[in-house]
Amino acid sequence: MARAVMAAALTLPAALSAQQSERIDDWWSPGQGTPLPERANYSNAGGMLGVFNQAGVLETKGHAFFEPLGSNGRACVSCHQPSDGMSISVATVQRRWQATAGRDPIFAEVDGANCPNQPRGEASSHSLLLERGLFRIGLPWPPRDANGAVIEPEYDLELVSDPVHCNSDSEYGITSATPTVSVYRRPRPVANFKYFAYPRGPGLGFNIKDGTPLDRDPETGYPSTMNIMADAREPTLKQQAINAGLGHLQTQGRLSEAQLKQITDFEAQVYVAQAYNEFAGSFETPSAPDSLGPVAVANGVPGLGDNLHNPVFGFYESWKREDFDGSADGADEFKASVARGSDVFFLRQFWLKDTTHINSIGLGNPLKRTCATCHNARMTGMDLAPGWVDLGTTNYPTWNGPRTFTEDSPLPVFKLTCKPGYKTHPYLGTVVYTHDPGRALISGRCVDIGAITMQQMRGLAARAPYFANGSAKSIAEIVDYYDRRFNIGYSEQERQDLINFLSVL
Amino acid sequence: MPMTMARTSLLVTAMLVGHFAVAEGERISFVACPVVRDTATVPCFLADNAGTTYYLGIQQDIGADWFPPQLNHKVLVEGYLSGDTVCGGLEIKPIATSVLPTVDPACNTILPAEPGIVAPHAERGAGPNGEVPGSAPRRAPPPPPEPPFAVKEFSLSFTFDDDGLIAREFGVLARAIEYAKVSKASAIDIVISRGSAKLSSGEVINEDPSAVMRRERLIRRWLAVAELPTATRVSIKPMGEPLPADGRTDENNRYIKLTITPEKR
Ligand code: HEC
Ligand code: HEC
Repeated sequence: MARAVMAAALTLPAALSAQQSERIDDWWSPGQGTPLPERANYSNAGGMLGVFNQAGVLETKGHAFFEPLGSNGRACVSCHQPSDGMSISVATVQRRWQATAGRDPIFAEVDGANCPNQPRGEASSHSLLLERGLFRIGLPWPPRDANGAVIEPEYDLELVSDPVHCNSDSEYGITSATPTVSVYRRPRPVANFKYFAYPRGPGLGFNIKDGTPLDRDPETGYPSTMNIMADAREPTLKQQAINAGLGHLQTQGRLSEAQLKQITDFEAQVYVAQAYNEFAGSFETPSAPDSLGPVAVANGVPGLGDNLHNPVFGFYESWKREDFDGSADGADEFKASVARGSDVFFLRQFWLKDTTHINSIGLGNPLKRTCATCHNARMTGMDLAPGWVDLGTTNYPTWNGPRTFTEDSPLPVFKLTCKPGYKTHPYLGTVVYTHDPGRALISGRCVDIGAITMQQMRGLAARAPYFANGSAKSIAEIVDYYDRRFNIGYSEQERQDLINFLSVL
Repeated sequence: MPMTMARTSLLVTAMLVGHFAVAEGERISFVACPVVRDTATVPCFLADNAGTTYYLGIQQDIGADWFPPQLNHKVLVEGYLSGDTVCGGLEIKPIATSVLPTVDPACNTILPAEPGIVAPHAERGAGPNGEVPGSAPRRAPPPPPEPPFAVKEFSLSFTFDDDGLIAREFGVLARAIEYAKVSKASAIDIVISRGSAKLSSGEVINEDPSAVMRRERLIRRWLAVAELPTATRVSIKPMGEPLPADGRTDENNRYIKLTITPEKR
């Protein structure tokens, strides 16, 4: 049962902090029918996550996001849990495995197993979900355009290693009757969409990253923001919901217009952000920084952030003050650390190097800038131009696991060889080894190999592990990843400050 | 440091040490690895050719007029010596640079900042931006085209061997499409060039035929979303042979040219 804590007043009762240690089971079962409060808090390792439903209390009985609509008993909420920042953490997945002996609908064979061909009820069949929180995403091969026509890929794709035996499977694999490439990805938070998945008006729609036209909303013909899903394959939230129904929920046919409207209305009004920390207390007091907590996120104005006038995640001056009460409870220290961490994020320069769709778009390689160069959109840290970037999380050499494709990895490895006459990957060249080609699996283009859409940076503490492939187990591992990837050389204090900063978003 | 100050002091230095061997206005064109020079502010991009270090430009934003080259790729440099020394290299200005498509891991030099080597002022620096909120300010869109309509040419320019459409060139394309719509174009004739470059060494390099194919794919993608009048006849002529290089204006010979003929009235 959900034991969400309603916050009646802006300031939380101090007694709530006791809940950090004793983790409550906030699992939201499909069809459980309890109302979603207007404003709820859920505890996690970083303190508490706040969920704000801007339209008020939401009746979830009969609501398409919360009801199991297909044959496998899942609802959207199964993998997009309020307590987990509208994603689902691997810790929650493991608890569900324990609590239901592997029978929870999230483990449905279709994509909750490494491959539908594997024995039911055995942990080894679900190793990627249990160990990394990854669901299988089966994509048609070769790719199809919006009208279903085959896109001739600019590269040849070979399977190099298949530890989970799906891409090589005769029924589900690349050479099956319905050729499919399976990659494995984390659910992405369903919240805060007004900042990066809004409907655009009419226009030609210029993708500043690669000079091509943006994909279109099939209903209006208007260009899409192309900023949802790891590979931006869904042009709109509505289109996404249709396919999530058919895929994850295994609905008979397309969800009804009424159901789709319920889902997209909800997506447009739900906001998540961390709201409370053991040391700092509530983030929603007048003296707290101005962009923390879900209500601040709901009230913000979308657009590009700017370091001095309108920073992506607001100002931390109130936590920088020297005149704290000096008590021994760690509050001053923690607040000051977060404020410094914000400066590390926005001001600490390093050489951003060899990242497709950042360095390659005219900014130059390398680029001496900061984390906020890529994470530039107000409140969410998304990239407001389509944010798919090859950061090096899925292509070899990786910085978060084996350096080369010859070493053991739990994920499949593909070898992509660009055909003559096409632009290759701008930094890795003609041949790229990868365990998720990202955008290239949709566009068929070599330049897109390994380009993964940035994720919003809210509610991080509620939804480990991180990156689309779950390769960073903790916020600390995210920071260490960047330190290695860009040879930043953070001091121990900078590292800890940055971790603390990320943990309050 | 404000640009004028930095520039003047460097000029003074150059004059004092008597750098008059530099022929101001001399054409220079070569292919080399770019070299990055860190400074107290933004990095400078340099390149060495035949024992001389040239200054190409600084890191800026995508709103800037010039885009820096890329490590891991050679750069084709074309332009004219200004007579100034900037950031430790002879300045080439005006300058056109092209990132060559082949990945070249040998191009990988970042030099540390050194006292006395100062980058010119950057509109948007490496750190927080004190002047302009967001990236470069948007220019007001030009007014919509008005009759009478005549045959009109629009040219999209590209760098050597590349098919990347940058924002400024997209603006030209958007105006061309608008013109075709408003003038109810009877025809759009598109020529896709294959360019070339004559280097200072005398060598001539030609664009790869695949660059022409890639440009054609690009323009076709745009035509597919342009919603042109149904009566508009579109012809596309990709060039087979490269345009001749003259070693002076070669940077202008890499283009997609659209000639729009309005409806006959
Ligand atoms: C079995 C788990 C699962 C279920 C059930 C599920 N999703 Fe998801 N969702 C995912 C995964 C995995 C992704 C990321 C896919 C990718 O990046 O390719 C995702 C991504 C999304 C995104 C994109 C968010 C972003 O910012 O990119 C939205 C929106 C979304 N889901 C909505 C829904 C809706 C609506 C439903 C119900 C119709 C639903 N999901 C059901 C697993 C699930
Ligand atoms: C070159 C652009 C770029 C830069 C610079 C950059 N990031 Fe990212 N960031 C990305 C991309 C792309 C992703 C998504 C990668 C993936 O999921 O595989 C991402 C994801 C993230 C996430 C979200 C993880 C999740 O699973 O939700 C966090 C947090 C993050 N970055 C923090 C940082 C920090 C801290 C810095 C500075 C040290 C930084 N980023 C610098 C591009 C960048």
